[in-house]
Amino acid sequence: MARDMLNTLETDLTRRQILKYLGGGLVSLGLLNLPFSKPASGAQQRPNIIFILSDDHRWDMLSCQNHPVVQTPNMDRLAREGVLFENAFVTTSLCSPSRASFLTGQYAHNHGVRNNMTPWDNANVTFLEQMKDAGYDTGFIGKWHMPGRFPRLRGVDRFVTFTVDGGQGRYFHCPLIVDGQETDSRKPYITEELTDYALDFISQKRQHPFCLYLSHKAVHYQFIPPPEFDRRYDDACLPLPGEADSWVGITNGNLYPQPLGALYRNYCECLDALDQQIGRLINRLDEIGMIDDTVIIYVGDNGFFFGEHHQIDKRWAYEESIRIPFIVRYPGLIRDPGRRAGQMVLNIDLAPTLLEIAGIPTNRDIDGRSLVAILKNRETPGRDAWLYEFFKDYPYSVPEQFALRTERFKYIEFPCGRRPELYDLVNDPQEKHNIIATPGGQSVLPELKRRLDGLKRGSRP
Amino acid sequence: MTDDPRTIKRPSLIRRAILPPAVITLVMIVLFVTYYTSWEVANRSLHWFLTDLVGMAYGFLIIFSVIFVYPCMYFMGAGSQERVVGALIIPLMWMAKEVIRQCAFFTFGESLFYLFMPIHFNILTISIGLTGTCELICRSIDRLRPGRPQVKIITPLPVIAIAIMLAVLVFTLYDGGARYFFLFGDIYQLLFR
Repeated sequence: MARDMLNTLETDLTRRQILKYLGGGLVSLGLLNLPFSKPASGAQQRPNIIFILSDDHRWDMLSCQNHPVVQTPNMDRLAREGVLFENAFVTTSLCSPSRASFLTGQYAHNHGVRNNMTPWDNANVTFLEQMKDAGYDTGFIGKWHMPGRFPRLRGVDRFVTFTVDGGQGRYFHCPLIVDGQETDSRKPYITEELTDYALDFISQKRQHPFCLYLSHKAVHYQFIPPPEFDRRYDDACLPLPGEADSWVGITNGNLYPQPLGALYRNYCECLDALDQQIGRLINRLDEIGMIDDTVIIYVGDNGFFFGEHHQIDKRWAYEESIRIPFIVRYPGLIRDPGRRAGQMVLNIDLAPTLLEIAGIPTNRDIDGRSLVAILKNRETPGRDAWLYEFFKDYPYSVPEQFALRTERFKYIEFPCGRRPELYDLVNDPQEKHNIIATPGGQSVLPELKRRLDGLKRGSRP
Repeated sequence: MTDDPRTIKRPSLIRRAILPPAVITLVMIVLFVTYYTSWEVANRSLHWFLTDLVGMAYGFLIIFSVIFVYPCMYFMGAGSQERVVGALIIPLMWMAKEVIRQCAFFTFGESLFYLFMPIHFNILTISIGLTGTCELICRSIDRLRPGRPQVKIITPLPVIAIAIMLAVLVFTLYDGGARYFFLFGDIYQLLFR
């Protein structure tokens, strides 16, 4: 290693090489025991990490959120034994930008993946890269779905993904790319297939802790459940919102050519199947005695409309679109399992949280904040406002928009000239009454605009 | 030709070529207004009834208006070009509306390219194919009428229209339309990025 370092010093050093040698040097000198870099748990050994990301999973579609139809006993278990963040959001409600935000801890305007067509920049630094540099074994298994060429993802030991259908993959017989090699699917259904790869990864004997990023295709459109879950809810009474209709504006830009009830039913079945596979992962951790040494985080990449605001899909700044399920289970840190945390947390908080838990200093520009203090102590205050941003995403007819979300208000601006919107979320949680022209709205508007402008200029949320 | 019941006393242009599409356009407008007005109906049962029923009828007419307009025009004596233009008015108007709506968010070129989205592209090709189908059916009925044995049923143009419809449907709906959608996205990026 010393020889390699000397050779490298004679050439130009890349940022990654500097991080690698600094990290390696710190480890070899035992400096990771210094207070600044201690694992957040205070434990001697750094925990394993499993981050599970689903696609389009609404925050309220969990049994433990009293959803009347879906059955998610395994996600419920994570919530019961950990912390469920009830006010968790994405900073951009769209797959690619949101995924890049989870990986980098940055807003879309900083990591550059503004929509599903702007390419991923290989210069972006992911938390997986930092984990690897600090000695973790790392795995990325599942949906990458970011535009551009196949990524040169640094610091990932095991990389299993798919590129078919624009990176969306297929529910059945999805061809995979395993460590750069095109590989046929081993199992017909994608959720089970990815879980199998995850089980293989966590079951390996190893010297180092692992960090696994497991990203499912489910429960994205076309919402196709596996055969054993298919038609499970054919007779169920589906709780569609009052303003929904079967076609939710199919004649007005809705590109989903099926009635809403059918989509919703399939979505529920698909979600149950996902939960079952998460159960397999948890059970394996139980079996090998690693569950309490492993941080398990389950989140969705954005919300989903099922008729609210006469919409289907996502992108808009309304609550159904921007809220996500966000559950953390780690007994080493959480002393009051089963807690419902009310602080506002964001997708950009994931990376700094994992880095702090692993005892890795966040030595780069991260927009998010670590949630470790909140996980440790329920009284820790959260942020009081944050920026939502959505950039045009062809061909979806959703205007570019920026919003400020506080605990009480949401102010939305549209650069295209559409009338701005202001909602009092306490008195109008469904955002049905735009109060921007009312005296009450006018009285709070200047401060909200000032704060939104500040966040758009780059101040930290 | 004097034996042709459609040409013995040919109806006026308004009656044969304008009235049928005008009536169906009026129905569409009523459905359009009712559909969007029904969003505001507070009574939930009435709301669902209106949106489901009217929404379905509205969507059905966008895709299948040809099957109402084309036969009417045929038997009212409209010429073949008049029949095709009249029958395609509803889908074309709807597409024009979609392009205008997209222009609020995207450039005019991008908005025009939006017409190649599966839903729009399919509506247009279904409509074209239905003109061919209706033509063959109308000719078959026409031939059964007294004094019309000379009507030739199968000719190239209607068959080509049907073949185009079937080919496009197979191409765009294969794999649930996913592959076509991603191809559409790739071409968009080539053209506009």
